[in-house]
Amino acid sequence: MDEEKTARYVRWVEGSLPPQERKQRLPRLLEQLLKAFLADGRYHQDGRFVDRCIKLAEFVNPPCVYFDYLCGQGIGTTASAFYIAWAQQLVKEGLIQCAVSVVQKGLRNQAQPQENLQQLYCWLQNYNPWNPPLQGAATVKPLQTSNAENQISPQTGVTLNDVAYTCRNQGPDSAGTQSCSSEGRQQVTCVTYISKSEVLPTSSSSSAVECKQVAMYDKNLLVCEGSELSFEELRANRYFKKYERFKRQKEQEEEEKEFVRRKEAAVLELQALQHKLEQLTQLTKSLEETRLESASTTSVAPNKTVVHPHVALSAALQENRVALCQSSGLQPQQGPVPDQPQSSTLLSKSLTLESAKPAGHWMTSASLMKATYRKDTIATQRELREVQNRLVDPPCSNSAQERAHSDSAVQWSTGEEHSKKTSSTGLTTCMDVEVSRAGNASFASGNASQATPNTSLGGAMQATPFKVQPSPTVHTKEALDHDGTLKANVVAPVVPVFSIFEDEDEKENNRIPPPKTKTEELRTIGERPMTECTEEETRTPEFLQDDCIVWNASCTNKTLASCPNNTRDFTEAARLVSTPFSYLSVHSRQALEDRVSKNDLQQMDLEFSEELHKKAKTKKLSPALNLIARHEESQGNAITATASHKLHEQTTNCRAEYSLSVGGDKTSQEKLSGTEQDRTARTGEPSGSLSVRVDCLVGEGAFAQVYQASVLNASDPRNNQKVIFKKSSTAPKSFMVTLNLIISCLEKGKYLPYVRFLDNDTCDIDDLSHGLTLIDLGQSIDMKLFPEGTAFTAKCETSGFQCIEMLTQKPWNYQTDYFGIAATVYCMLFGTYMQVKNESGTWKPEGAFRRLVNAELWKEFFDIMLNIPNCHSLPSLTALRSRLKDLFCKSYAKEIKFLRSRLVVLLIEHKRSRK
Amino acid sequence: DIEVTSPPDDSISCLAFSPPTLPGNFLIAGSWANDVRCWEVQDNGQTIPKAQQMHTGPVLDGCWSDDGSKVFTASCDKTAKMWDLNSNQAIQIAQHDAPVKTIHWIKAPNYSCVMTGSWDKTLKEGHSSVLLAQLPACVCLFSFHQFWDTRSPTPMMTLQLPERCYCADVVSLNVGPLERKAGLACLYHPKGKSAVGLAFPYLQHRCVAIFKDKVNKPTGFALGSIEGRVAIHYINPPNPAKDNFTFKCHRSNGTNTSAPQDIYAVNGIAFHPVHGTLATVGSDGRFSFWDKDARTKLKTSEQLDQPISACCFNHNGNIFAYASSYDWSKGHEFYNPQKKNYIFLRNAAEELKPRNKK
Repeated sequence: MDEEKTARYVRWVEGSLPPQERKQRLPRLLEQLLKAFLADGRYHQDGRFVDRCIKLAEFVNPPCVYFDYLCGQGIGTTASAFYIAWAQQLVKEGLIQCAVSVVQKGLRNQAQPQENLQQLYCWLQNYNPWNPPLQGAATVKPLQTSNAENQISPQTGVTLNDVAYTCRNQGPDSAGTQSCSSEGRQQVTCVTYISKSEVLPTSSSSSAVECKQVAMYDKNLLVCEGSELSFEELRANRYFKKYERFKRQKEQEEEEKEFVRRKEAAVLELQALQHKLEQLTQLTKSLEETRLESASTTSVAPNKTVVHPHVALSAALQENRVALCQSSGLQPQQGPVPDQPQSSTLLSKSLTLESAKPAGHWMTSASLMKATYRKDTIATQRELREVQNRLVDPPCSNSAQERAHSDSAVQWSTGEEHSKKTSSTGLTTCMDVEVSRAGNASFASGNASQATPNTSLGGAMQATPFKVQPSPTVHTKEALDHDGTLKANVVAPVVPVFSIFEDEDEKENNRIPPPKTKTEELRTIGERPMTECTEEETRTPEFLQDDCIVWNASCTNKTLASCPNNTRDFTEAARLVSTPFSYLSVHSRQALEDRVSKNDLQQMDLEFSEELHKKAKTKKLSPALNLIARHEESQGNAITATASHKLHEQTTNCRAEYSLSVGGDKTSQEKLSGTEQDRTARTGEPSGSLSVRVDCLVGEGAFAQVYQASVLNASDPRNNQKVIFKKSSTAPKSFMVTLNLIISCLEKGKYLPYVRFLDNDTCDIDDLSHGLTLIDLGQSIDMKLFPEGTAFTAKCETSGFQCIEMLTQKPWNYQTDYFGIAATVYCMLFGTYMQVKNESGTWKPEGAFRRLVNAELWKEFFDIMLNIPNCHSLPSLTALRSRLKDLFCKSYAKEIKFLRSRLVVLLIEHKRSRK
Repeated sequence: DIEVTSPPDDSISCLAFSPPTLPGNFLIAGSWANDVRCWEVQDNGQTIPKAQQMHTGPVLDGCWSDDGSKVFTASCDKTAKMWDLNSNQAIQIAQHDAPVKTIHWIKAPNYSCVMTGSWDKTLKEGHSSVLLAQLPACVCLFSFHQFWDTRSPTPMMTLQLPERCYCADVVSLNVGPLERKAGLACLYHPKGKSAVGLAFPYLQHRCVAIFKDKVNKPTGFALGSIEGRVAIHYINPPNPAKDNFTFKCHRSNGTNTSAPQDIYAVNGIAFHPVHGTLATVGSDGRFSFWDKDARTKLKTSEQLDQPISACCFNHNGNIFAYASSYDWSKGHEFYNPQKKNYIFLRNAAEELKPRNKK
């Protein structure tokens, strides 16, 4: 590609630049060209390339060394022009013997055309030093023309009746000789040139005698350089011109398309950035509001919870400009803190004491620990304020800067980012950097999990920080309908404590500009923990962060609330695995979720305790955060969760189920697994757990959201594997999720994986980057949770997802998967959802197969998939799959690249039409 | 004359009848509409369109394999294709660096191959000397021919020609390899106006056809020029000066009038397979039949409103097919895409009989 361009450029320079400029540019260009093609052996004998190389010799000093080098590289070794140029150079330098040896070398290598070399050789043999030396290129021409001498006497059958004629016809004759020599001697004899010109004189004379003749063709059109075109050539030229024009036009169109695509991507990015900016601005606003409100709350009900003072405190700290008076009671405490790290510890202690009220004791202490660790009041404030979200909050830092506190960590923060309209990307980076610098490794992991994106909605919420109401989204509702317990939990009491969470939300907002849907969704998740948190607080105030085991042992499912960040992720995780649970009783499901959350909590706790004991341990920097710190800078993306992730694959029934649990820290994960055996069964080996960073919400169906996440790879942080997981809020599924997913991916400018997707022109069906990949079939049951041979009789609500067995009230197990596959295939074939009918005892999908490609195969496919004899004689999917795969590879292997491009085009178009 | 149904949508560049090995007659025509079409020609002259194949560029030439199962086509898309009529599949068999102008099937006792002539001048090395050893005469090759084994992607042999190949003809006979009974004539256009030509020193050659003697041995060729003249040229004639001659054709009116004579390009020459007489077609929109031995004209047709761009005889010489379409002799300006192209079939059994037996 590049080489091609260089070559074309050289041609252009040679052809169209004025000589002066050409002289200047050519050497460099030729050099480039040489470099570009040197490695590519294909071009070594390419005439054009060799010519260029020879040309470069004019500019190289000393040229003979250069020729030697070229020869050593194997360039032009079969081109006589190369040897001639070399020899001429040597002759010029007076090295006749060397020139002779060079020519001999050329002859040995059978350089073509040989005649020229031979000529030169003869000439050199007879070289007389008194003769005028050869003059550059001029020599070549004489050599060529002197072919005449070389003319062999007429061959058999050739009658040359006109010597002059022969002379004039030098060209063709010499060429004939060339062809002979190139084809080997035996063939020469066979080429018979017939110059039968017996009739020539008469014809020419007769035509001369003849009266005026007018050629009835357009001679002028046929004129071309040194020759004459035939009609066909004339026409072909026109055709090719047209064709070229058409091609260029097409290329231009392509380029334009590409440009538009890029522009769109850029616009999207811009929008995202603007969105972030907006959020930042909003956040700043809401921060002020929060501060004001919290302050007022403090003044109204100062004793309600401990958190109040904190909030007020932090708010006051952050906002220098506005009145500090409201939280005046606490303000004095702060006074000494900023400059004296030790006093901050004291402060935290005192705060801890104060917070010996139900208000999430452990949180406070956690933050206090951090505060100590950081030796920074601002950090303390931040901790107090954020509680869970230990990530540095830009507004926070902003205020910090305003206050001109010497916080080493502060320097990263572009203090007035929101006002300065600095890109939020930078912001995110800064935050991450800060975190890592602070050395709060384990905190960082906590942070990572907290980094739930939020939208402007969050801002709205922050305006009324204390009214934590569940924001009812479709998903929430559905979730509630399906899970009574959950519902109960979601009803969040209005507790001041939540102001903290609001803040947290703010922070999240700060970091991320996520899609709205996600915000809603996340908030829904977030609310539940809050509720639980309150309960937790009242119930287990005595639990301290240090003793994780005790704490874990005693903690109920409510405890998870006290660790909202994690809980959040857990809720998410739990939902992610919700499909298998949907068939369990509400109770067991809840229990499972609890377990999950417990785990999470434990992790958090572990981190804290570790923090206490080994404060300086830098290696604790969790891989997740590490990664974030180093990577988020480029993306400005939000970190939603750090979760350990385990993919269960039941190959037999094509069921893929993702379970997520929180926890970025491997050590804690390991500890966890020790305590909870049954959980391990579900999440798999601890070593198999993965850290996942949720990048974004990529798609949303009626019942589920699909996220793109990165599997965090500590050893190779630059090469994160992207995974997609689906989080269903209810058991049902949507077939179109996968498609939506890709659309959204494109929409969000996440081309990266798809670029590779387009480049990949192999047809390996097992390669996931191959095309659309179905990530689940909607319904799934973890069969491992049931004794072997279990069959079910229940049916799912959505009629379209009911398999034949459900419809006919027969027991089923894997039939639902078969049905799901069939339904998905049907959906892709017909574009509608599958309806089934029973025709004389055989179940068939509605719709005419006649017009389908490979109709017979599909017919058979549906026949197999829909007519399963019983639970114990399931049709072999492997056989079916291999047949389909064979067919696919046979019919589409060549087209796969085109089809991929087509798919992307379709998706882009789809995206446009949705706008 | 009988019009062939569903003629090509653009100028017809070549016509060829199926070999005698096939029962009945099939006609192929290549066109500038990138296609090559095949008709079945019934005894009553009715034509039934059979199939068509596409190139990605205009088709310039076409020929049949000796068994009639395949059709080879040469195209501006720089490729040659083999069209298997049984399976109706076409595969590329040759690749040039420029449009392929001519294509011929060569059948010899111990091998068969396809020869393509192109406007490219690139040298490609061949590796087979067999073919050339059996060719008695390569008549001044000015362009570049390649001989393709249809099973192999590389040419069996490449002849480098100093100029572009304009026309070619091959006659192959099933005789002993050493007898060198196959004939080949390839034509070229001379460089500039220099007299490289054979019969017309200053004229461009447009078409060539090999003729055979009474014992079916190729003895010479007829060469058509761009300016109303055909040369009859014997290979190794006993008396070259006497045997070779040229004759004028495709001109507007006699030389005896004072008005200037319009001279037209000879677009095609075809020899009658039985009588050894020949037909020429020209830009003037006429076809003429000639007896080269008697050196007489047998017939000249009425003038059509379009040039006749191609012609051919069927295997037994009963049918003469000629195509009426613009040959680009006056360039793009005179091209009317709306104008319909025709292929006509004419009963040639009687008209081409030589009048005076010598």
